[in-house]
Amino acid sequence: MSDNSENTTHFGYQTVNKEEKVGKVAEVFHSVAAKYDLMNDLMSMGIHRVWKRHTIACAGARPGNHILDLAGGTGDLTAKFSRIVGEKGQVILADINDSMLKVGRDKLRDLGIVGNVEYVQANAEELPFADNSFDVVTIAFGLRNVTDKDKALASIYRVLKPGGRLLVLEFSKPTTEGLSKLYDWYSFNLLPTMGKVITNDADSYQYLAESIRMHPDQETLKGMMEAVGFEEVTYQNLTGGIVALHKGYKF
Amino acid sequence: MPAASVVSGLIEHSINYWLKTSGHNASAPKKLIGKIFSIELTDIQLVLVMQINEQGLLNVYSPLEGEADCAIKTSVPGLQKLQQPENITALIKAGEVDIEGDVGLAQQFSDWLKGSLIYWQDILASFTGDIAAHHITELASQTQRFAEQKSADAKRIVSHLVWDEKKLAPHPYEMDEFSKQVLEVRQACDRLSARIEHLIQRVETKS
Repeated sequence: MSDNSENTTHFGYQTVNKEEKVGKVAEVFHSVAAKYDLMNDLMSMGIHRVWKRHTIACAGARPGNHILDLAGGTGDLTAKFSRIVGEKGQVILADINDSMLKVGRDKLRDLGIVGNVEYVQANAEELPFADNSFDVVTIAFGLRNVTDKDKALASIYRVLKPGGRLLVLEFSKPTTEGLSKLYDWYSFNLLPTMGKVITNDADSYQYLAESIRMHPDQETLKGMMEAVGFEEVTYQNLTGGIVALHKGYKF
Repeated sequence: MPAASVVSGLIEHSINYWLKTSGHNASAPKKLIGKIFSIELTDIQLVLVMQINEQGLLNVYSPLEGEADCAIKTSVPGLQKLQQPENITALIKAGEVDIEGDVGLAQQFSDWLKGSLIYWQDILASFTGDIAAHHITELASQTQRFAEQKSADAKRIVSHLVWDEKKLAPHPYEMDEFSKQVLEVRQACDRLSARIEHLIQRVETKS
């Protein structure tokens, strides 16, 4: 049994082989990429913009900084960071999924955000960057989909400059019972239906709801960050713990 | 506090819309680009971090991480008073405003922002057309005059009530008169004590 669990991981509520997860997650995002932004706005009722804005504020980015927006998807954070770091800084939008990356690149170029942004298709577990290269690394709603989270965190730790920080914005565990029930009902009933109507793809949104439940809660993730070397790890619950922002430093 | 992120978002969008429509963003002073200003309003517990980017638009965030080039800590009424630059020293002395960092930069920043206000009729006209914009402007200035008139009236009525009708507080003239009398008494006292002192000395020298 233990042998078995080493080679498997969860894909939502299903247990799959580790090699399979990457492909399955990729499938999900290939299928939702085109309508990803619209769905985000609808599903979160626009609140995801507030969460991301808060993340940017907590990043403490300054002109000239080098920033890695990991699993950056359609580039919401990158767009804002690009304006903060200015000409002398650099923002790298990295995603494992080329469909998402293409959507993000087109969107940013249409917004006129060019010059200090680069696009890299990369796996968070094996980041193709030199050690100590970034002042800030963010991963917003991405860590959940990574197969080996510890490996990804260690890889992020490696590419951060000493003094740099990692921000993980991710779904987490609601702190109150009432909210938790309402949220469960919403994500298992309403969410897949919305997904079906808008993107004609209920399965992807079923996966979203399930993967959120399988993701480690606030304290566990904090422990995982500390285990790979991050220091002064703190987290902040947003919207009653539906989402949590974890912050850790490399010294 | 994510609520602050909602506020900062609204402020950012409205200011940037304003700057873009007026074209004022093109005239952002080079010296200010990339500089970080933070305004902490203690009474509503809100911190706003502002930065001018290379397009001459603002990034507005909350909370502040790290250091700002100029940090202003005040209250909402304090912020209103700050609009008159001649008040700054008095406000700092009174402890209503606390400024850390380069005050000159903050001054330049607020002057530049205020500079965009001269375009407001143009921006209004871009929505409504010139004639309507003129009428709205006229109406606004009339309303302002009316409000000023009413507030002056209200002040007069209240002071009349307090001083003359109900006599809740002494009239300023009475107050003046009273302070004058106090002054006279004090001077008389001083004179008397000086005289007593003088007499004591005389008695002592004689004995």
